[in-house]
Amino acid sequence: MKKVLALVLTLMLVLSVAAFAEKAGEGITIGVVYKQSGNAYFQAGVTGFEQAAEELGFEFMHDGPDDGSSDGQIRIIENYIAQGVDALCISANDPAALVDVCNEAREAGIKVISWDAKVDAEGRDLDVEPASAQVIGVTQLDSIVNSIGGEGQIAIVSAMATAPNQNLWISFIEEALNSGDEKYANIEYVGTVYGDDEYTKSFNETQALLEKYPDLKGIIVPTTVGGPAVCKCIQDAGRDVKVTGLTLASDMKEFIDAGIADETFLWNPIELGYASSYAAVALVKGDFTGAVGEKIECGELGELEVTESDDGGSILFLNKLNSFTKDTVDAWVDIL
Amino acid sequence: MQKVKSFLKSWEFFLIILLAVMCLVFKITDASRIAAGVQKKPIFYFANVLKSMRPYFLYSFMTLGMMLILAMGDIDISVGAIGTLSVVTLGVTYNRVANGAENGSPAALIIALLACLLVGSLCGALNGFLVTRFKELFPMIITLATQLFFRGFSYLLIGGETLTFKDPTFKSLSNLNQLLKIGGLQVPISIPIYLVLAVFFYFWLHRTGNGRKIFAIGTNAAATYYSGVRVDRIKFWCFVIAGFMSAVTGIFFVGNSSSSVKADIMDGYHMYAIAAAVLGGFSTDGGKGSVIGATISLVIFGVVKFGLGTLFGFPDSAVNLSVGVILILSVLVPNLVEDIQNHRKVARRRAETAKLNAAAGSAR
Amino acid sequence: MQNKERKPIYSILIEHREIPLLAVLALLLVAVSIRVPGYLGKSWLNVLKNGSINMVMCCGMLCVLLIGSIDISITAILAFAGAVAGKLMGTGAIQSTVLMFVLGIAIGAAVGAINGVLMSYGRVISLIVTLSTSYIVRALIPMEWLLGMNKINPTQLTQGFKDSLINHSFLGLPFLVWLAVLVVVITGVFLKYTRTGRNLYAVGSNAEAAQMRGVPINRIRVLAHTICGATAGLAGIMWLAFYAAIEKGSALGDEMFTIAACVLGGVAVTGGYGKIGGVVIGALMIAFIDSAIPQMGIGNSMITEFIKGILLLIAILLNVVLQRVAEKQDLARRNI
Repeated sequence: MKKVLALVLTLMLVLSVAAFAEKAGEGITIGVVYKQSGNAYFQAGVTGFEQAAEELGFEFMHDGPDDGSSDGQIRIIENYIAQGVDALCISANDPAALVDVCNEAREAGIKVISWDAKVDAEGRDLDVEPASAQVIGVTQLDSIVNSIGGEGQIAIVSAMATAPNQNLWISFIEEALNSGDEKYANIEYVGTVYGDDEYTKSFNETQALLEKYPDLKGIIVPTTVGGPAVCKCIQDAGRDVKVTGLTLASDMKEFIDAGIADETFLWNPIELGYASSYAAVALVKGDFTGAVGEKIECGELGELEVTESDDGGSILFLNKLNSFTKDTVDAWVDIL
Repeated sequence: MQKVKSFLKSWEFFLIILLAVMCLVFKITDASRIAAGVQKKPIFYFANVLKSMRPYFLYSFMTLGMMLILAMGDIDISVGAIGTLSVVTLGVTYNRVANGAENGSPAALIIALLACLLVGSLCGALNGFLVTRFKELFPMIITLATQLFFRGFSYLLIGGETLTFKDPTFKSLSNLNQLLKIGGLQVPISIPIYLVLAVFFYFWLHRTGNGRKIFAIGTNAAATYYSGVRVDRIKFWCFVIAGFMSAVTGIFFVGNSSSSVKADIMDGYHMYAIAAAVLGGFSTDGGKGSVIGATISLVIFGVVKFGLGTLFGFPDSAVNLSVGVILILSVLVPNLVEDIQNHRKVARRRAETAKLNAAAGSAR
Repeated sequence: MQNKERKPIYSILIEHREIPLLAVLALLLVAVSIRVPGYLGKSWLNVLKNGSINMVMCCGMLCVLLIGSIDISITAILAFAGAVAGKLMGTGAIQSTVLMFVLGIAIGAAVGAINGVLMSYGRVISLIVTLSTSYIVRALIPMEWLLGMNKINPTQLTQGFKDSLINHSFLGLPFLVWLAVLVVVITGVFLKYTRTGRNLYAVGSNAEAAQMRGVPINRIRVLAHTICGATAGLAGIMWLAFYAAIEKGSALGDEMFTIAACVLGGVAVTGGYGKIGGVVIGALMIAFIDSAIPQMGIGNSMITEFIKGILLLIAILLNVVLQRVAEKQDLARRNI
């Protein structure tokens, strides 16, 4: 509850300051594109854009394809180009597929920012990400290792087999397991299955996992859709398997309270949207170019520095990962 | 005079009216939004709309293939999956043949494109073979199974990764996504190519005996068979052509998605193709429809999706809703009109007979 | 006539199209059991549980297929009915479990009736009608007044509702499975022993002849679609109770497997032929494939679809081939 209060207070503070100053984003229109419509995670992201819009005075539109496909996103981006937006903030379903259409937008003078899931370096001006992939991957691994007491079999239930974010995180998890670290010596990693970000598919795959590995101790679910499905399956089966992963608090409250998950994680998508809109406005105004080493003032989030990402482009890390436990989950239920 | 009259009664004319009305509505909305200050510059004008038709003409080639299938009274829901498999073949073959050459190799691209088209045709051939040999089964069921098969096979080939190509040769496929400059207008390259193909299909389907046989099969397959037409053979080749067209769509799709290849693309494209063909006058019962109608309906869907998305701020999911409504109405309205006409005819005849009877009665 | 007491095997095959399917099912079971020892012992309950939702929809689909129509909007109805009911329970408008089921069935029946009216009185081909209604109904779910960007999650449902189908059992089977059994029995009795049920067959095999005999064909068609919609609505509530969650994309594309189950069970898509027994076996087979493939450990779930496609194709074709052989034998016998 404290966190919410703090958030509200800072917000009011910023708002009151902003009320006197001339708003920086007046007259700017931003097109926000997310991965898929009807996804609560992106609803939270849009809330971040709304907050920033109140502070900066810009206007924004948001949309995501019905089926979570890249060509659907291309369609939406082209519509935004036709409408003449000033900046695009895109959470890409595929980093490579959107490059051409993004470059077309940039030729038309539109600034392109990717948030949450990147567009490849040659197609964007800036990428805004919650934390580096390594941090995200290893945090989840450490959490599950703690939950199961340092030994036993673990598995991963991922999203689509083609999901770039998830695959990157999993590769870092596997790397950590193979690094020969003492912590992971008694952990046996049995493999990854893919739930396709579909509830039933995740459910069935988990069922098969549980039957195939009677000694399974822990499951990592690095996707918000899979989390509740995996937990529900374990609950129905009555097995003592611990879960961790990236999940929404509202989805997981039931299962965290039931003790199936000790701790799950998620960055705050509201902050992600918030930071993206600050970066977008600054880029459009021209007082910020998104070059590596530059710093940008992101309202209540303070000053953030642009670093070089592993694909050679520039990237902005928030480096904040919230954890939901029995004690903290209630405070987050209404937000995420 | 007779010709003009029959044109005015035709489905194509109705589609043109529909398109015109829609354009008018969008144009007025555009102007009023500018007047109200909601939007800074006009969105809905010819050049802008034409430019924005690009994503909606991607599946136009698939629609041409689907037309053939629907005209025969069959249906093929595996076309999207065929496109995926052919595109994946394109990527994999290119990687193998070019062997990582620095600037890529044009020969490899040609071989890969041929392989892509070949695989598309072969997939179509498999469908055609099964449909003609197992007549007890509805084509929908067969193509449902082959769809899963093709899609799964694509996954087997490249798994979950995205194949990206950085070399300029393969990148040249992106040219398929470019805008041609014709007389100050920016025209998506797929439109002229589609028009050429559509003209070819028009003459084939509506002007040659061979093409008319396809419609004859749809009207009454048994009668057509007994009049000496080799029904199975024509069916088989139509499925092959549909597969080929899916592969063509796939190549354009690669151009559209920045020359990258993935195993989960073009899911649901069969529905777009079916929707466009049905609005164009084709029916799953077979035997009717025209290339011109299908072409106009492609434009209609493009304009509706563009207009609702940009001017009315409809989210992507609600745009599908409008597709659903248009589809139902496009079949329901003509049926109702026909019903009313029949009713009137019956009523008139009844009135006439009643009058005659009355006259006869009074004469007696 | 001396053969009367012993029917030759091929004539049994002709009368009971589901028998070859039973053979395929047994064959598959043996194959899986060799690969995964003790598979059936530990998984039979899961197969039944996961298959029961599809089984309920199959009963409705059977009615529609019998009249020579088809309904591909069932999974959209499922998601819609589940979303509306879940939303009402979430806001506290409904607390009673029974009322939830009634509401779900009512919503489903209403949409089904619309399908039926458009299909019969409007003379629109059922594929087009139901394709359109599935577009429309699914697009309603992410509207602001329904789910918006959110989904129904477990905390919004009452404990009694969540327990209703899974945690209560009778004779070792959870209520979920009994509900499916109940629907199957009702449909079976309806089709076999009531005049209206027999009329479904009549309309499907020859509509004109049926009309001549005084069967109100349009009313029968609307009825069939209404039944199908009602089962889909019921399936939506079952889904909600089983998985304790529903969202816009729930069960997207699964209608194909409902149709496939019916076709596997020997139902003629052209109408007029189909038995409830065959449909049950078909639905079991689909559920079985879903459950068995992840456990076989053949690669990962990416190729599940591939195997599913091949198995489906083989099963369907084998069914046809066996049928043909049987018919040929029968003809040969008669000629002699």
